[in-house]
Amino acid sequence: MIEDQVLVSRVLRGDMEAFQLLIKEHERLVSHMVSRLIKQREDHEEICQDVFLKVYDKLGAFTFQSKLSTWIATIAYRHAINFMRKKRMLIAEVSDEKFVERFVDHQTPEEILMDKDQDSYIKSLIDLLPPQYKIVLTLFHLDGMNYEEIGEITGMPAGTVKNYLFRARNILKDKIKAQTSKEEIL
Amino acid sequence: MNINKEEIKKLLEEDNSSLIEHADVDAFSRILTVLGKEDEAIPLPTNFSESIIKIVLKKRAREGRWGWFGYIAGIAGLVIALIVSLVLVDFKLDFGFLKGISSYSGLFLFGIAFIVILNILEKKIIRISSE
Repeated sequence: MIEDQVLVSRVLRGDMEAFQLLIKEHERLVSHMVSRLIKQREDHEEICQDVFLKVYDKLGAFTFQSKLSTWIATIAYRHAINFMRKKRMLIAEVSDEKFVERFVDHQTPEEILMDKDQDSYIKSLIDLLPPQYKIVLTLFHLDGMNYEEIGEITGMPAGTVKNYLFRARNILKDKIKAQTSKEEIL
Repeated sequence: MNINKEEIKKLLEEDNSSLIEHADVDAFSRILTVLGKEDEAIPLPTNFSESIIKIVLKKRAREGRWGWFGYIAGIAGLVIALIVSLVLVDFKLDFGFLKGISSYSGLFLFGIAFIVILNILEKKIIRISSE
């Protein structure tokens, strides 16, 4: 694998093969970042495309103070969030005090029908979390990033990342516990 | 001990007292198991990178065309401005100033010879020494 610095300088010199290599190396990362926030298939490819076009335009401003993948993930995250805002997609706000209460107590018809022991149930709960919680959870547990790296991508201080991670896990835990106790009563 | 249990242990080490309950450990274990699994991303087409390259090349060509257009428009603008200003000031071409020095043909020859010598010096001495 070519080093980031070599790859970037080749792209900046106008080498399209190098840019194609950059895309191939990072398309999985971008696709995952976008998929975690936006579930609409029809928008997904367009957003991923826009992310890479932005990467190409801004590559000259990349200063190597972080890993290239972290920088690309930052662009993908911000682009997806902006898209959600532009399309006025319903984003559960972290600052909404009643959110936790509603999240734990409320049960959608799909949830009632779903087998609570299945992983898909927990996955659907993760999808219902505010995007900030969801992205922090997946970047930490799935991509193995540390607080600083997640903070760089999301623009949050490391302390906030830690706090969101703690709260997100607890909200999910409370929801699962509430469901389990309901089932036991029935 | 699998990875999920290690995570739960880590949380316990962080003084998360709520984990002490068995139900919590069970719930966290399920959450961490799901979070540890690769989520299914919406697949991108196999020619995804090629399609982006095509867009970039098209954009470049478009920008190139605009660059040329700007360059030519700039030169045309300059010529138009020159013509307009010449008309406005009623400019008349007059080489009368050359009449005064027409008798100094030696001065012209000296000037030409001086420039030629300078060029030779620059090529033969200055460029070689700077390389």
